[in-house]
Amino acid sequence: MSDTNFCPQCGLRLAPAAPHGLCPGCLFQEALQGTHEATACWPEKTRADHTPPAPSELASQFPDLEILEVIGRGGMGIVYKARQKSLDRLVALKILSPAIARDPAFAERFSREARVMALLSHPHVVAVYDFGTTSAPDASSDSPPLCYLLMEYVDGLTLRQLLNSGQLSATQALAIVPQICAALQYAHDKGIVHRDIKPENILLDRAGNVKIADFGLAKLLALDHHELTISRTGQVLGTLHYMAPEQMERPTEVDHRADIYSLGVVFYQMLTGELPLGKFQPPSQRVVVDARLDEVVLRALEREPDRRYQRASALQSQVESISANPSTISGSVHTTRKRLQAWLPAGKRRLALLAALGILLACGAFWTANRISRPDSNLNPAGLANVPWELKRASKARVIEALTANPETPWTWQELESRSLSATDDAQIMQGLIRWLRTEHPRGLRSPLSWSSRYLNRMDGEHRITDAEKVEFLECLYGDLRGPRQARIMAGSSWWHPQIELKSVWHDDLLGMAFMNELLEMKIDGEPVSLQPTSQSWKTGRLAQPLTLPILAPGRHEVTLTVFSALVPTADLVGISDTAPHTQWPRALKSWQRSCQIPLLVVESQNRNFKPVTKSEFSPVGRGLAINSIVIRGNADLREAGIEFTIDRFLPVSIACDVTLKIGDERIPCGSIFAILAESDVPSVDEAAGPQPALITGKTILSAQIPAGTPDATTADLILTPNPNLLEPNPYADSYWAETIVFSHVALRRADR
Amino acid sequence: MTAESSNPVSGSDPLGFAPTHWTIVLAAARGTAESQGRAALTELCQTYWFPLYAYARRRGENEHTAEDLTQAFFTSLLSHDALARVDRDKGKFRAFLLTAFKNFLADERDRQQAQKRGGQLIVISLDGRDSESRYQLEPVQDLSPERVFDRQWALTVLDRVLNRLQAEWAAAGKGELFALLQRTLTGDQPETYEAIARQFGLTAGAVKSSAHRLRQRYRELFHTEISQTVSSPEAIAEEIRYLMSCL
Repeated sequence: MSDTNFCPQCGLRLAPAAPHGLCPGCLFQEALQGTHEATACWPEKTRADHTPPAPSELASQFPDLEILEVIGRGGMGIVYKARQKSLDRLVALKILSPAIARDPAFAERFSREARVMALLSHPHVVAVYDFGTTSAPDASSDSPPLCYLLMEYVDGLTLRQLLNSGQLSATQALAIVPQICAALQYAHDKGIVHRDIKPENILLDRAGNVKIADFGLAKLLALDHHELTISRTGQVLGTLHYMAPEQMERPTEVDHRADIYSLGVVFYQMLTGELPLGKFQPPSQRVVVDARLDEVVLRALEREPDRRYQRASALQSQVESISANPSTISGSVHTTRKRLQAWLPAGKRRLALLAALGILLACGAFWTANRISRPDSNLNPAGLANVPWELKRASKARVIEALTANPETPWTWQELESRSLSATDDAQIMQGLIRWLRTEHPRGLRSPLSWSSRYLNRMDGEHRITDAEKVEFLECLYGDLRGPRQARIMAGSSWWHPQIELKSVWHDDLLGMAFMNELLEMKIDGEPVSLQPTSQSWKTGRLAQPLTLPILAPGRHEVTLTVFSALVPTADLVGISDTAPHTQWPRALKSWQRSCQIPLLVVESQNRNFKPVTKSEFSPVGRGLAINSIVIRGNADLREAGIEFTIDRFLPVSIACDVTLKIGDERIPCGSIFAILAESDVPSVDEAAGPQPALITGKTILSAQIPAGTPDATTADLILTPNPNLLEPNPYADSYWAETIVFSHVALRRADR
Repeated sequence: MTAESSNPVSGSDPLGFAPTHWTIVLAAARGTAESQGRAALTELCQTYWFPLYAYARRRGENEHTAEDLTQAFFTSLLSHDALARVDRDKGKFRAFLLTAFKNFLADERDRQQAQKRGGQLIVISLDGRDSESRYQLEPVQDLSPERVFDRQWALTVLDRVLNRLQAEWAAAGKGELFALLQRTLTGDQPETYEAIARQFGLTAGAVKSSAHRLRQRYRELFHTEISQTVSSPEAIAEEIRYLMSCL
């Protein structure tokens, strides 16, 4: 190994952390050599090779196509929507980089692989109609030849867009996954591995059919054309998350099971909204889904290909059987309980849990019935909104009903676009949306509208909506003024950022109206606090102020906030400064002044009045506190124990303990741990999500020397003795676990094994 | 044409090239596309957390505190008012992050145990077990915390670029070739080409041209990576030279 410790180029010693064992200095030197190229890597600069041909430029090269518009661009090239004149059908034209076709070796492989792609014909695979390399139309033209694929045009969304919208339900995921499986199984049977399954490549058409794009393209393009593999905004990073481990580590061994892994990642993301990174939790621990799905997802995500599903069809049948036989709700109770703990102050949790369980059990039949994705003409309107193929068959009235019952689904809006609507329909939709906001979101909608906004803006553009309707709708949408229900600070603290939630809509530009806010006045116990007017901007609907508070005595206080709000036509705002006070705002369609009160609790900075808690339902064991491992290092003469705890933020109560390790009769003090539950009864601004628990933790890894003469043992007891003196004064914590906790017979692991 | 003169948030413009993470953040600080700005900032923080950790460690914090501070810093940085703090002047992401972290550490001392309660909890994955071992591997004794930060930054860039390069070659089924060829990134090595050629049954010329492609791609990835953190194309070379001086 000695030769790797010095750089062969410059002879300098290499640091142990040198990336890839290479000399950082020489690597930088290499990078610097190309700095004349560096500016070319700047995304907004165009180089001849990277310039995508404009639709008009392509016309001469594709005489049979009427190039309509660019519909996508990614690492692999650029995709145009086009009309094939001879067959009068819409097609997608994918152009690989203009520079690519210059390499004759690539061109040859391209035609070989594309032929294979064109062989795939399956309802869930995007069909390849044609492929080839164009020749420059005439010698005088400078345009290089282009490699292209002519493909089926899919009118719809990518799964990425659907995920980004946050509108994907578990039901939809269960309808999508089997279709992906079917496509994969079909291709795998033909010996074709996709190698790049990711949400961008999974398309959903308006009928809810899944179509997988770019089969085999990854293999073809991965390296031969090095310019294209990485998009300029870091897309490969995204792709890497979906790659099976063996694709990185043992690329020669990659087979169809890599696709199954990637599908597992996509599935996990569809269910939880997150990627399965690091030590991830099974889906049902994160969200309320059928716990049997955990097994399916985790098996697809097995590191070893041999332990995964061996066939996509096996995964498919498992998912379908879960959809068809909804289980009892037991799988979701665990998560629900955790959430309740997060929502409620400790004392109220048990009652609420019982009540919630009762409601859940009562709703059980409905709940489980709704989890099936089978077409069912008896679907209620809200359910219908989730089933695109049913919507297609539904009457216009049913579609409008579905839409107003469950407006934030893509399918209903898409369906609506294909129907002709009368003024009565428009009014019905508008009133339905207002009704939905009033009943479901009486204090306003927190997240921006996604699917409906496009439609609403179109209605507005076509003057199908009155000013009065706009005002009524937007008022409901933006809701009322809300602040935290209570704020706490320590006596003597001079900083505090009260957050008052007001919708920020400037960027949405919904219905051509901006919702503007200005904090007019803030009082504590009736005494005005000075505001810094310049730090306010009407462009951000959120009001947060850096404040210098007066010295407040411990105890209860009240903050009163007064806000001026207005709905102003966006067009009138041109040239108005961000920080303009409301007196300089353009004339509003409607304006109003509102106030809200927030109780403020000032806590004594020496507050050590933590209440001891011993009720068993608040025991932290198994509810956030666990021992990760006890590892013994060293030899018989000098041994050390390393104890690692895991403490998560769902802990029911704060803990502060001295830790003792008991091996045989020997008691070894190991130090202490504490975890202060900073949640207490401070609800967050987002009442729907409940207060966000947070933990202030001390050390969670302890170590101690084991005295010589302590017998060798395979297990030990760990004793946690409560010690409230460890609890730092804190505005949030008010109770701690006051009983000794004993973890008995914990396995001792030798570090060398 | 400068980055400023074209629309910096051109995601919706299919013919315009995509902006870099840092220009998105800068654009967001000017009041457009806030959510995109926050996502871009998160992405950048996710990448460059280790230099901050190393900085905190070098300032004398123990490993737990350093990790907590880094985590808490990101939580506060990525909470609501993050973008408001981004200086509207152009600048480098590296400089912004270090300044913000220094301010954060100063505030942290002032407020001591008092805890700020933000709205939502944002957790950047710090990959904790790795951080300390990585830190311990680095010779830092004779460097100032700022120097440690810059040095770690440079290494992070390299690490990221090499990992991407490796992933690309692996994806093309050329992982083994990459493992052998990567050392040629630091200089031409004729004897290596011949050894590889024998092993893979290729001609030395073919291996040499692979090596050439590898180097070319490496440079591209490197420049792209740097471009994510600066605000104009002209700054790329300057940033590379600066980071090189920090090694």
